[in-house]
Amino acid sequence: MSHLAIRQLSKSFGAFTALKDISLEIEAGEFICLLGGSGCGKTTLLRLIAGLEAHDRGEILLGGEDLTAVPCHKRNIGMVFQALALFPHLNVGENVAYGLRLRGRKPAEYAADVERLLNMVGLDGLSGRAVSALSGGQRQRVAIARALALSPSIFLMDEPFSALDAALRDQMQIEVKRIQRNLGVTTIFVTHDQREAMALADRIVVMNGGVIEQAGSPEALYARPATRFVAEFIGDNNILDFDAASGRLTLGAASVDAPGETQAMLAGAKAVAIRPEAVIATPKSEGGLMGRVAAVRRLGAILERDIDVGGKVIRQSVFAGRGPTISEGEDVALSWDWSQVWGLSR
Amino acid sequence: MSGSARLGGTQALGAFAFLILAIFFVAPLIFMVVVSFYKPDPMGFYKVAFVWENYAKFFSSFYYKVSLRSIWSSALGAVLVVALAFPTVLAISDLSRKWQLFWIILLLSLMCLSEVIIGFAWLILLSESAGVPRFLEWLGLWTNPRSLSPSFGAMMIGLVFLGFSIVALILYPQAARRDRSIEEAAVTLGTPPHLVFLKVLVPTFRTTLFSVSLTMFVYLLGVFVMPTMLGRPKDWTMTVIISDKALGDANLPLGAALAVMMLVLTVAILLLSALATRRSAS
Repeated sequence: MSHLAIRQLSKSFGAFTALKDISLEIEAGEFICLLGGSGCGKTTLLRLIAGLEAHDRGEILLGGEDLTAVPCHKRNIGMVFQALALFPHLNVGENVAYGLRLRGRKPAEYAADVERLLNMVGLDGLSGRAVSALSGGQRQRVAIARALALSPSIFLMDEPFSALDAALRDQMQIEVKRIQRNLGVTTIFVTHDQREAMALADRIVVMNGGVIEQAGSPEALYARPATRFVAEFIGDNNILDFDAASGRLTLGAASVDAPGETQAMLAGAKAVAIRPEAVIATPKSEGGLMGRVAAVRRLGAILERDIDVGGKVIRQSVFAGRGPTISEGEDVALSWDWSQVWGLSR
Repeated sequence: MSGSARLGGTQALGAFAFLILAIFFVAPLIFMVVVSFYKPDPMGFYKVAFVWENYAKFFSSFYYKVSLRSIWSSALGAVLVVALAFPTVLAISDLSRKWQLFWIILLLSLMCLSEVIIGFAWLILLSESAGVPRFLEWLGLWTNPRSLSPSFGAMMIGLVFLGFSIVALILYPQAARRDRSIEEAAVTLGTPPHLVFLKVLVPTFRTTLFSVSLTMFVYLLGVFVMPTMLGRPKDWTMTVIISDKALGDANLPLGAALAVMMLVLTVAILLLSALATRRSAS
């Protein structure tokens, strides 16, 4: 039996349907990332699990118990909010101890727990400091320690790092992953950043328009996206129209036939996804698929080229300094590793 | 415009404001302090002299008690106003935009009402022949209804009504902009929803509530109409007594001395409050 089971869950706000028949099974200790754009329903799903909103249909089972009738304050859920929601009138230690104090524990009983939690998030010695005197990263850590103080059944995080700069965000991702691994707490993390989801999750749940597009490991989602949306949302992808009957890929005005063995693999596909790193461009040669380099971008160790093929732009990425030097405006012959071409049925 | 030119403009504006203050506030204040040492003249308002007798009268039991009663009435009124207005404003700020606008317009329109009209409305509502007593009789809760005014309670109702819309409109912007996730965080940490107000909202707003209470305290100290219309003579505040002495008895020096003493007491209370707030913040 899974630790958390979500079955046929639906939620509407007036005429707007936020979630449509969502079903998801989450194992104990798993780190799940709910990934999607604005308004896809990921935060609504998190709030339904927390009990901050009531669902219209379906059920949420935690350890086999239906949470429908259990109010939020009795669900034993730890949550970190996007705005962190630290209590401004309490200092660091009091924030962390809030839930413990509410459960009737005396300061002498919880003092050691608070110190342990602050130590765990790297804030030892800051117990008496006002939260307004902390940096952004330190405030994140207080919010995490406070949410974990009650040893929650599920740890929920709603885009907690969205306000941090890139370097601090990377650091906090490593910290959160470490803490989650050490405690083994089942974690659901909401993000719109696919890079963050890839870095953190055991399993990513990609959502779009109130439904789950695909759920799977980061590797699986990257290599085998089930839908065009997932293919475009997870990393860069070149999406090409595919006619399964003729086995032909269309690139604007140009087209190319897939090899026989690939055609068999792409049976039923309406489009194909080709990762930029699978695209091969060689300086001008005759025959085959020809294109012109429209733009070249140097992104640190990676070099990206946009290649115009019959009006369709194909993106290629290579390690900078490797392969032939190709400049903007130059004609190239284009090909790709057919074993990395993935069919999309919808 | 250069920085120095802009600074010069600001300084000129500041000097103008200071001049206005000096003419319309400081000058009458100095005049009042000077008059408070003059000798009362039954034939006129005062005789130029230097006497302490007006201040000596303040420390006689009657005026001393009136001043303490004024402080008590205003402090209680301020606390009641804030205690009623704060949860109301929180509730309004959680409504849809349309309903928020409705309530704000209503509160603004209440502020436009004259103090005298409000006083008369409450006089009628609390009278024996109409309003609340008759309603309570109709409900069977009061067999022999009588007028509820004048009384200390009626005066309090008047003071609270007068201050309610002011406090509500002061608190509204901050209540509307508050981070609701703090309340949600409290609930996820085990706070029953009915305790979120006391455990999180009141402490979070405590500085604002304290300063609004102080503002209301000072405002209610100066209210004249409500104690006169709705209160008994023994409920009258120092404002009523000062007016009575200065205008009714033509004893301007005593009225001025009482006003100076009330000013000193008010400033002392405000300073002590500011000191206490700073100490609690540190």
